[in-house]
Amino acid sequence: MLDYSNQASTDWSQFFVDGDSSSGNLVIPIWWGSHEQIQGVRDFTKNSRLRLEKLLTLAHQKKRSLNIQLGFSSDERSFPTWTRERLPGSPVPVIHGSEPIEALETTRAPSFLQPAVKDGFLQFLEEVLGILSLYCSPQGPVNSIRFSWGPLELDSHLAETEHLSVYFRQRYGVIGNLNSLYQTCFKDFDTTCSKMGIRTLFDKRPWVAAWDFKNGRSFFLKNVESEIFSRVEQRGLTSVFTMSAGQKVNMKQPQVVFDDMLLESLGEQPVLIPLRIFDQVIPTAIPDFRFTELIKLEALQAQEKIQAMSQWNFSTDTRNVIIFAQRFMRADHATGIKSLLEQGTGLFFPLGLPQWDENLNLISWSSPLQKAKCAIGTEEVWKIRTGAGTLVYPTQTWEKNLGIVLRSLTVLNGMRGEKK
Amino acid sequence: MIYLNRLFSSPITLAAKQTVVYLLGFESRPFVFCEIVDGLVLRALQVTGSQLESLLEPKAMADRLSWIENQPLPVVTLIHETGSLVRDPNPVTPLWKFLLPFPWNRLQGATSNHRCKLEFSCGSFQSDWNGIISRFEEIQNQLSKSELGCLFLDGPSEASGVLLFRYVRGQIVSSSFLSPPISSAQLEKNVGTTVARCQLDKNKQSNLLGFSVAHAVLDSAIHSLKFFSPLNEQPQDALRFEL
Repeated sequence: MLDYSNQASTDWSQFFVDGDSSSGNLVIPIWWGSHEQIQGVRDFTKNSRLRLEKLLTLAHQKKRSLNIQLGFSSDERSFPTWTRERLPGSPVPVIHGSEPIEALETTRAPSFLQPAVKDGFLQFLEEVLGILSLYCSPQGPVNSIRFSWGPLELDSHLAETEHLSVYFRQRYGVIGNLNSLYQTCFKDFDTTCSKMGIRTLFDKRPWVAAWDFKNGRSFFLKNVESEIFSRVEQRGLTSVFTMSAGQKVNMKQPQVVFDDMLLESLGEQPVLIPLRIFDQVIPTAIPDFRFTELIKLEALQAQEKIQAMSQWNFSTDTRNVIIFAQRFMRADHATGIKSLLEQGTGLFFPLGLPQWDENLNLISWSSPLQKAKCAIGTEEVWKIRTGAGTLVYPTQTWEKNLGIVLRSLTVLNGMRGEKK
Repeated sequence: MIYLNRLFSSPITLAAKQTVVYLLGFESRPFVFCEIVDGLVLRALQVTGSQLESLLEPKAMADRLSWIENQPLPVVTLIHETGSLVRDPNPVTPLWKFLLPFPWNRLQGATSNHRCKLEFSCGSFQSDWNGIISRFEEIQNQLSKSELGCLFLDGPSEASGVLLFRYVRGQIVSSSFLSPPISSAQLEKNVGTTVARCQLDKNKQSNLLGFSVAHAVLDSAIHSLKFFSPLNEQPQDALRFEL
């Protein structure tokens, strides 16, 4: 990685190896905060450390391909100083990602709900894309441009506004539909979106409320994304541009997958945070958080890969997998899992099979005829053959205890043995 | 300067932090780390050196005190004030926080953040821990006298390395871990700035237990401190000559 704005421009050439194509693509982060010290005044030429075109020319001369990183991260330079002076900011989690378990911290980040912040960033982006469009491969060194919302995806304020009400109207149509799902008696969507209203939803059906809360939150960002995409299209950069918000992490063969609806998770080695609303942790998220930390530590100790369900790409090269989910599962995830079963994957659900999706529709895993009781090792389980795959879950749901991952791995190995 | 910049291209890894924990002998002083957020028990972890084991008890705040009383190990409880998970906007991170993994790096010692409170169930654990923090502060004071501070880790061969810290006005501005370590001679020859170095070496402390190991290793590190200036730097009096 070449963090060019942090290096003297005379040092840049040290990061390029002449003509050595084997050295791979160099990652170049472009920070809004570095280029816009004063509101509306963007510097790409005056300060020698910020001469982006000089850097791109140098990379081209040295025959190095570049992966450009745009957007936001925990780095202070994600935002210009002037945006930080606009209070109040939004609380976003601080994620370092260097340790399996981290301290729970939040920081105040400028909010995209403030028009000046949003417009300022879009103007900066337009200027950057204008420069990058001149240096795209094959004529130039820019191989890819990746945009990431980073921790801003987890900004809970995005769901605490009228945007959530708009989202609810879009999802439920009339308030009666929401009331019947949650067993509530709200008069309209605006009262549902009040602090008390949201708390009531979380008290009634925490999992479904978390689903709605997360979708309501990303509803606003999706609107901004469409504005970003239109600028990308204008510059003819669609072939090299990717948006990482909400995208799956391309992790091969996770052995353990967990439902993270009541948690926030980011990164390949998922950093977990219990879901928070109005700057407070949701009490119902705590048991999930603690149990997930337990299985995460046990999986790491057993040197097994673990991944959050929301980031799993349901890839076909997945081996047998343990899935820790309870009564609910997203409808799209259930579809993904069924397609894995069709392709021959073996799945073990130690906490039982999820029964409902976010609309409280029953998930159909099999017909009763396909279900058979059997023993794998010392464990008594239900086994369902669907497609070429096998779905296994205990006849009596396991307690969430220490050693649950090792116990599950024993069943998984037993399933493999049977297959052979 | 180019050479110095390139030294700081590899961040401190978890493995390096685990080596520090090993060298300080923390595995012989296990404890339970309990974290309270918004009046809820967020996590309870049994910490044995770098090894963490998640405990599912206590479930409710009401159970916490009786649960702590029944614990055979010292319990350290970090209590965040309601809605106060916000990180200090201008944190000055001390050396020991760079060196230690979670949750060791949350044991603030005497200089506790006003937004969170640390409770120790065992007085001797607390006083021993404060002794470790004060020794780290002494090392930090010494290293910060130079632009580059080096802490050599004399651990198992695969984990040996050197932790580098760049200081500006006494504060760490960047950190790095090099493994295999760069030699002192290389640093002296190439780095072009003032360097302070010391070493964490557990070998001589094999007869000690608990935090006494860490005290002895850190004392030894303080005694091993060496300073040197770049070879090409002119002596202070080189420009003084008689007219």
